Amino acid sequence: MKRFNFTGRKKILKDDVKVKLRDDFGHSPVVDVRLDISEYEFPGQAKVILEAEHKTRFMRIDLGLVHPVVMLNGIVLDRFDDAENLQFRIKVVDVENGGLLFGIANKIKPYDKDDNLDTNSKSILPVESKDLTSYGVLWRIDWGNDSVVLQVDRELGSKDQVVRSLTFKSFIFPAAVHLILRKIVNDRWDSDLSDTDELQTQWILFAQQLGAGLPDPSEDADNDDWIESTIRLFMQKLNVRNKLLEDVMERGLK
Amino acid sequence: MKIGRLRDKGVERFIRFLDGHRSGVPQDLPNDFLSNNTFVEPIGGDSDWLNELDLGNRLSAAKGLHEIVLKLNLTSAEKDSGFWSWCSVFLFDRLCKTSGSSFKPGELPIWIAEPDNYRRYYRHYLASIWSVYAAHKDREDKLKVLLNGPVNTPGELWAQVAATETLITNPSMIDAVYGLYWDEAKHERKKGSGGNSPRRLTKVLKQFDKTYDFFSMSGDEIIALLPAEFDRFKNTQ
Repeated sequence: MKRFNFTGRKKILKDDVKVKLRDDFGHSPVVDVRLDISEYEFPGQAKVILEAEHKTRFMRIDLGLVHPVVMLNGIVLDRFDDAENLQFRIKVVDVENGGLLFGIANKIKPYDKDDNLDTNSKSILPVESKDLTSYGVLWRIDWGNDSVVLQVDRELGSKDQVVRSLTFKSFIFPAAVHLILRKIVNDRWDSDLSDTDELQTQWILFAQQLGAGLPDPSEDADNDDWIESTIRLFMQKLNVRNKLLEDVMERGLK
Repeated sequence: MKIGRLRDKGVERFIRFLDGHRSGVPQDLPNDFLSNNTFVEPIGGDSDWLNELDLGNRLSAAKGLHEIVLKLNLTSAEKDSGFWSWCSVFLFDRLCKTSGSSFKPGELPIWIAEPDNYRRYYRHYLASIWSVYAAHKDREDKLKVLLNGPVNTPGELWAQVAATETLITNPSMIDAVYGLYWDEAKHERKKGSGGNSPRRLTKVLKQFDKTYDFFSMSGDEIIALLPAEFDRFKNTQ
């Protein structure tokens, strides 16, 4: 399905936005924000807004009027307990004309104090450790507004331990990817792949980069082959099959 | 007895209790469940405060819950899943729907609060209405459009608006929903506000969310954006 932007709303590039976590925060995360937006030619009377969100938490911070460089340091995000999986959005708003958006940047991830992006943030499928007792499972896919996270039960160990394990890579990861790809091709997705902030577009481009090509956009296509190809290519890249079989042999399980 | 919060073992036991009723093989909770240290961490106060809640009116119940939260000095009530789940157990007999002599508890999120999952959090009978009341109590007169009816009958308008966090967190959106769907002359929701209209409303608003910053707009400005299919609700106070 094609998506058109009739409104003239400009997409602010992530390279022009930097949200950096300070390491000196106590209870709540503290960030410094810098935007370089001179090239977008936003009107001077427009307002710049920072939105922070994670799960059910949400905060809006007024960064003031448009300037070539917009900066605000020491923003205390007191509605959040920590910075894990925190995401940001920048909006440039025409406050004099009914809230029309002049520009927007979505899914901004923060840098740490050493100017590194969190490695979990860079992953197409972030992993989260949490209590899944009420779900009765050891892992599940959690669909957010426009995001997807693989949750593993905290009783399995730390998130880092779990994702490094052969069991996870061999059995959980491919099953999770299968569920995600199935939902993506079953839901409406943009065949033009025009908005790389969209979750469906990101996953389809990911599959394309692996060599699986694009799914068939026809309504009656089941895309089983495309999904299987994507998973096969993905597992080849992870190179776990042989490692797992070796492990099984070593343990005398075979 | 003192109000408490369920420990992990308490949550697990409660889930078994709920699943038992759902499967038709009830497993009763221990008689002392609500005060048993294995399952419950005591907080304080008095459970009679919960008995006094008017569960036939969501706005009144939300207000009462907020007073309890304040009296207990729960500074992190929004995240306190154990507290809300304890309240669910305490009020279970009054809240749970029945079919004949059998309880029909419905889905787990109705009873077990999940603060980290907005898709499930809004379904909790108690935590969700408290959360919205606490966020918008300065608009109590307008909350009635979302918080009308009994606690255990949320309705479609609530299901649509509360499930969308960008809508439910926005005070202007509360004003817009009130302006659209509340009949001030009759002191009730307008006819048709509970059918397909809320679903269409959230769908339309999600599209407009790509173009407008709703937080910068008033309720009237948001209503003015809506297409002709909503004309029958506009300006009909």
